[in-house]
Amino acid sequence: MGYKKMAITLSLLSDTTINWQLNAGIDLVEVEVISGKPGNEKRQFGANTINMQSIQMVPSMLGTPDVIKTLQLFAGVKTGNEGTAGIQVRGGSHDQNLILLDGIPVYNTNHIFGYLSAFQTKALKDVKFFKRSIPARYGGRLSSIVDISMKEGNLKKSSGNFSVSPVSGSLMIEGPIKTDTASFLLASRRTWLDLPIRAYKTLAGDDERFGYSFYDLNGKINWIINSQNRIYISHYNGRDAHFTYLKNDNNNKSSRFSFNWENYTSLLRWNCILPNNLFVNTSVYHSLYRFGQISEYTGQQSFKEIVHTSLEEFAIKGDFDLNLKNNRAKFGYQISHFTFKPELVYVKANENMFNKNSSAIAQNLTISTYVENNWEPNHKVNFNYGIRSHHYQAGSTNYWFIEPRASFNFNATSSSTIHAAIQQTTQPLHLLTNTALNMPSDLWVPVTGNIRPAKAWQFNLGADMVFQNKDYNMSLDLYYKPVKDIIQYKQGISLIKSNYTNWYDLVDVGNGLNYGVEMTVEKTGHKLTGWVNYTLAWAWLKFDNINNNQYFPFKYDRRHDINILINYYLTNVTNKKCYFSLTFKYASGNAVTLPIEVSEGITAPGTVQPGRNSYYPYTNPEYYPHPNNYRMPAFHHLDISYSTMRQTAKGNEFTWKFSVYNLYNRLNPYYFVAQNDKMFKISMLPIIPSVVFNYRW
Amino acid sequence: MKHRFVLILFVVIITSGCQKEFDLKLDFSPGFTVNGILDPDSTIKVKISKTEKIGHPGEFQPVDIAVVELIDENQVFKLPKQMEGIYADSLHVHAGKTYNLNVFLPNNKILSAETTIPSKPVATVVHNPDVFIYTITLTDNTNEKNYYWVYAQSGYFQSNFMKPASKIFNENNIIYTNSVIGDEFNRVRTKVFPDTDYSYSFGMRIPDESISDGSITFDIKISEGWNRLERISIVSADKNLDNYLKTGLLQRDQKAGGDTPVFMIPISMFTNIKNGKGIFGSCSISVFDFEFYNEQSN
Repeated sequence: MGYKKMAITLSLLSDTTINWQLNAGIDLVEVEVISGKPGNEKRQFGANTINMQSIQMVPSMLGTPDVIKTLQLFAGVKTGNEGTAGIQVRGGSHDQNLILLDGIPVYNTNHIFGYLSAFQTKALKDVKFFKRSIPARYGGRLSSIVDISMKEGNLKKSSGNFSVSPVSGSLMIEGPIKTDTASFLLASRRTWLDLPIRAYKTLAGDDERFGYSFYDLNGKINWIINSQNRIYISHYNGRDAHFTYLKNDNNNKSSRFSFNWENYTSLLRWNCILPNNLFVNTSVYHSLYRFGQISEYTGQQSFKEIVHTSLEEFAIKGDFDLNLKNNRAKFGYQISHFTFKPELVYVKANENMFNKNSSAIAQNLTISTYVENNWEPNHKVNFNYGIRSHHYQAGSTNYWFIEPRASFNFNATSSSTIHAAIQQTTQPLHLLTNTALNMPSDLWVPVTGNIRPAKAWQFNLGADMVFQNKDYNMSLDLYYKPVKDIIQYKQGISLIKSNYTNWYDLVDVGNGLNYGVEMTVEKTGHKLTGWVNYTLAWAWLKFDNINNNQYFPFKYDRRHDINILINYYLTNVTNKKCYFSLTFKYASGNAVTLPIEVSEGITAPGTVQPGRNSYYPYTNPEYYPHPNNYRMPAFHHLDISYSTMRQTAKGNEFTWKFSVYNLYNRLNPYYFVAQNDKMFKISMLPIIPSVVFNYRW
Repeated sequence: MKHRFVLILFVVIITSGCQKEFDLKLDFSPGFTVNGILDPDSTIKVKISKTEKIGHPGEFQPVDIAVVELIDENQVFKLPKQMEGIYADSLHVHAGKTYNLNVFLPNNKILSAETTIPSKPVATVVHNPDVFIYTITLTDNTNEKNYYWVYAQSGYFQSNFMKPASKIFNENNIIYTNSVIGDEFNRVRTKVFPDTDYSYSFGMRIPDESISDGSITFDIKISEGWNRLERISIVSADKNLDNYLKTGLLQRDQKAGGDTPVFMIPISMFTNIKNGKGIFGSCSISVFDFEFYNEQSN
């Protein structure tokens, strides 16, 4: 739309590749633009493709559009704690999702302890989300794939985007390096949160500092060498930092405490078209996640402790596409080298620095290959099947897995499709967490000789129906997913561990079982779009040393989830758009572990009794029947936004977006705490209004 | 007016994300607790009481209507009620033997448990007064699975002109050490003394996997001052008592550390009482007393 027609007569004698660029040339006045479907735009074997316009429209906390929070509105996808940007897909914990940025895994996707995700939507092209069935070309995680593609940079003209929200500002520019040959994209985002305190302290001449900040930096270069070869180079760096520096001039003592976490991803990709319809993508990438915590005290005696956690991956992979008559085959390989440094502690005292647990460092190698074929024998039937092999090397231990993947679509009528899928997935790394939050201190740890890769089967059966005249479609999915060899901390391990124990001494290995039903009704079309979905789900865990080896609920075992998204265009013409958006989220409460019973204790043999009746002076023994025994109250909130966009004669756009998170101020409990024999609920996110300004040129 | 609206909005936002008292509406009905630790050096005593809802601060209601049986292989001993909720007998138990406990309550409710008495720890404790260090040598009984706990107490002599002075131990002491032979779960890195790196609050647990060569020797320190009386107790606990002691310490440390539920997963107290709560376990103890009255006076 908006381009002149072009007609060319071709005489094809052999395989030929010709690129044409359409010329702009039609002035559109008062044309009604029909938006894309705001979520399930194109479903292909379990994939939901989401465009960025859809994500921009969704109301969000502090007005910042967020890829991950948009995914939370899909059936079968659960939020962890309120407001956080983690996703739990079909009972899997958030580490079971492979989140790829331009094909590179990003190991921590959070800013501000998960309230924002690390992805700048202005720099992104689209998002593919797989949970129904995962094709053989993806692997390494149990539950889902989030494949995010960055824009490639405009080859024709320079353009940009500037945005200001209550917490951050962002700038994105893109344009040609050489017209039609090479382009670039640069996007940056930085928070404002630390600036007021920094400015105040500086003006006051005060050396003390404290605050919190984050930034993101994305860059990409796209170079079309010739019609058969293209090179992409992309890089991402995001960092969060909290810092406190306190000093006492009277006794010359000071203390410094900081923690920070950051991601680096870098990619070089060569895209090549070979004869016989063979497309080849060869990529070399590096992905690094690291978390650091520094505590330093200076005075008469100095002490410094550094806690360092990192996961680094170097990989090379090749993906081949071969298009035949009724088949589209894909095959490829990936070799990854991982270096894990989980919670290494370095202590510096009297100028000597020493490490307390260097034996936890591990280097693992994984080699994966896959073959996948999409076969469409006729317009009624469509198969996608494949196999993925993994070799995981952990020290002297080797693990081999063959993962079958198969999905099947049958177009029963012109408007209804039945589909079935079966898949096995494995995961060569685990995330250890002992909190209710997605903390940056959570540990990515490797498989070892004793701790096997996690393994899952998933069986999916479903149906899609399209009501073409009424712009409605509906989908229904049933899934059953047993999981083996997942790990969690042993009971009683606290977030702050006071000794220097290696992680593998502190974990239990167990299994999981997840099953449920997902239903979605979606409205597409002109003025009004959106969807309503409902998930009925069960998620169980079983560990040898817990609950007598019986199943108990996963903390995100929420029986019911309802998501509603409504977008309504009040005005939708070329130079002016106004729309109203609404999301409502309802979920059964999370399962939390709360002792409910207390008994009389004993005096430990060999000790003296300091108190009366009790085992220890502080407490009587407390019991709960099984972990995650208590169901928190249901969680719900309503968010709205109103956006207005005006376009200038030159085509520049100004957009204001006004949002209110948690419109009716529902105080959803974040966690419980006992004080003086009473229980208190702590709520974190009340009603939060915000406004965001966006300028695009 | 606009300013007032902004001010009110600000106050609403700040004050509404907050802490509020909450009724958990727990579905609770009281159960029964059985506590009994068998020790070859003591007579048998079992206490039975009712459990309470979490947050209960006071006494636990004793159960006086139980029938308590201790089964020594094929012999059944009925333990008579001595005091409120306490069932006791002057019987002695023996190391190496397995004992079963059955508690019969109204409505045909039966609580039961089993324990095997461990043998007495074989250990020596030598005190070096120059550096205030106790050197402990512990020899493992390789015929049984042992769970050792080392405790330290201090006390004083209570004088009475009619009788010889008696020993009163009134304080449980923290154990300081440079050894990592003990289990790590309650080990804290701390530099209280120049020659110790770690401390164990309320007991140093030594599983017999740590005793690789049949015996181990390690040093501990209690203080660098003179207590009048110091006692080192080495307890060999059965598996049930060991689990109970360990989970009890973990539970205590979670509360003492002030961790809020968002930062930790609470631990449930171990129990081996079928259909109830509490502990039926056993132990044998070797005790080493050290008197410093003379040194301190001099």
